[in-house]
Amino acid sequence: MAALRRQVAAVASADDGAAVDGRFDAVGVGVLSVKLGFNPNSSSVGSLVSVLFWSATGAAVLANLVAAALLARRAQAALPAPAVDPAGKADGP
Amino acid sequence: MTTPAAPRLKLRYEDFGAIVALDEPPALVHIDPQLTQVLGYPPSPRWRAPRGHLSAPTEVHLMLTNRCPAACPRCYTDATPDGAEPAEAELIEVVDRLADFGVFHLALGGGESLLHAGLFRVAAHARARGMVPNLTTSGLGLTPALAEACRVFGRVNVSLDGIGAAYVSSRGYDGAAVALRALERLRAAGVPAGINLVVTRDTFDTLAQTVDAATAAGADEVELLRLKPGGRGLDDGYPVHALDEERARALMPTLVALQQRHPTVAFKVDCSFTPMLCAADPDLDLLKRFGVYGCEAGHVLTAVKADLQATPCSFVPTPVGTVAELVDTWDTSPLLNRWRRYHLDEAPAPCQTCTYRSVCKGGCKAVTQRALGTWFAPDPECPRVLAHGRGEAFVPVTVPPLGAAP
Repeated sequence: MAALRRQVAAVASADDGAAVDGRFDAVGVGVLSVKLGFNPNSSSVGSLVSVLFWSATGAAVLANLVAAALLARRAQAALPAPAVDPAGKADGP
Repeated sequence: MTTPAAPRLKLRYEDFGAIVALDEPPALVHIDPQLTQVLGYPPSPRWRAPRGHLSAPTEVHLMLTNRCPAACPRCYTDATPDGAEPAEAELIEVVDRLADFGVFHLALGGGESLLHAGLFRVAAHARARGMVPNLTTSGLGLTPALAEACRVFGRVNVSLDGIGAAYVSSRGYDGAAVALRALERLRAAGVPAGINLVVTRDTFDTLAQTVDAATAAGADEVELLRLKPGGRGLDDGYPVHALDEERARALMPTLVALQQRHPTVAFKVDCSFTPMLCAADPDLDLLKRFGVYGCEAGHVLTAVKADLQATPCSFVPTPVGTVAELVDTWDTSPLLNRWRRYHLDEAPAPCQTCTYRSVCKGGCKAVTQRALGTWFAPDPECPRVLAHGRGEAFVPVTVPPLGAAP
């Protein structure tokens, strides 16, 4: 997590402030949203506000990294069956 | 009881595609149907028949015990040294049901969870069932050996509201040294650790000092929790301790200053603070892309209390039923559906036309219930709601850019 933050911060700090149209859509294809971190708090759900201080470029970099992590997992091993498919039990791989 | 090996990648179909859980970086990623299929999963019938809500909570707040030696004056669970707690076997059964339901994360709390004799076995079982258990503790009783055992958790946060008088003002005793020692022990054990900080008027004014001490002791995350009325907190002068409007508007500028001071620390706020976050007019798209949530009770999150009754969130006394009943009625429960759809179906002005309605969802219903006697009304402490009540135009909070000098 710390390494990821450093990586994103490094790219974000190099941002010239130009907007990146589409953000996640432009680069992290198919990634709709990313909820970073674990929530140990048992009375409410926490949100990482640090990301709101990142630039659009930083957000796009994160989406790319997450998409890459997912695809790397796909490449590493055969995927397990979906954990839950309430709408159709028969369509797991 | 079954304990199959944890899958390498956990995916759950949803209306919009799927949610995938990653351990490194720790994240829940919402992906579209196309990427779901690129990852090797076939189409889901759910994509053709959307239900308008998640197929299950992503996280469940599981209260392991209502025992705690601290007896804080505003404890929202009204925990006591001889409070009730479920048996380990009952907790294991709950964990199994939640795993079968598709829950990704557990937030284990109390009371003081370290007092439950089955804590680490319950956590290990959650891991074995593919969920990530996380823990909140006061730090009381966290020996070096227990800190080592805490490696089973994804993250441990220690409650630390202030240092010295600020801690005492919040919890009635000075437990800051215990909390800081717990952080040091967790750091030594290699356990990701941070603090939960309940923000009151007193603790807000000493935030920088508290964060300095916590990070020096090893905290890499700071989560600010809004004071909410519940348990003994209902009777302990809530209006005197809750943030006033001036401090509520100062939340985002304060977070920017803290982030500048501690650039490697992750700063979080809880769902009840979203109205204050939105007072600074943040980028709505960015809020959605990074899963910044307002009230997600009975949807993204659900609570299971020490009597093993499930409720929309930890502050709601009305149960949905047992965990089995929660699972059975997840799609149809009128209680859950009202909580999920309040912002769409019922929210009046100014929420009705607010830019942030889809994220904030009307603010914290626990605060609203105490102030107005109903769960379903605009959060009376939201800066926009306050301005609306005075008949004034809302003036957004100005936040300096992160790179600017404080």
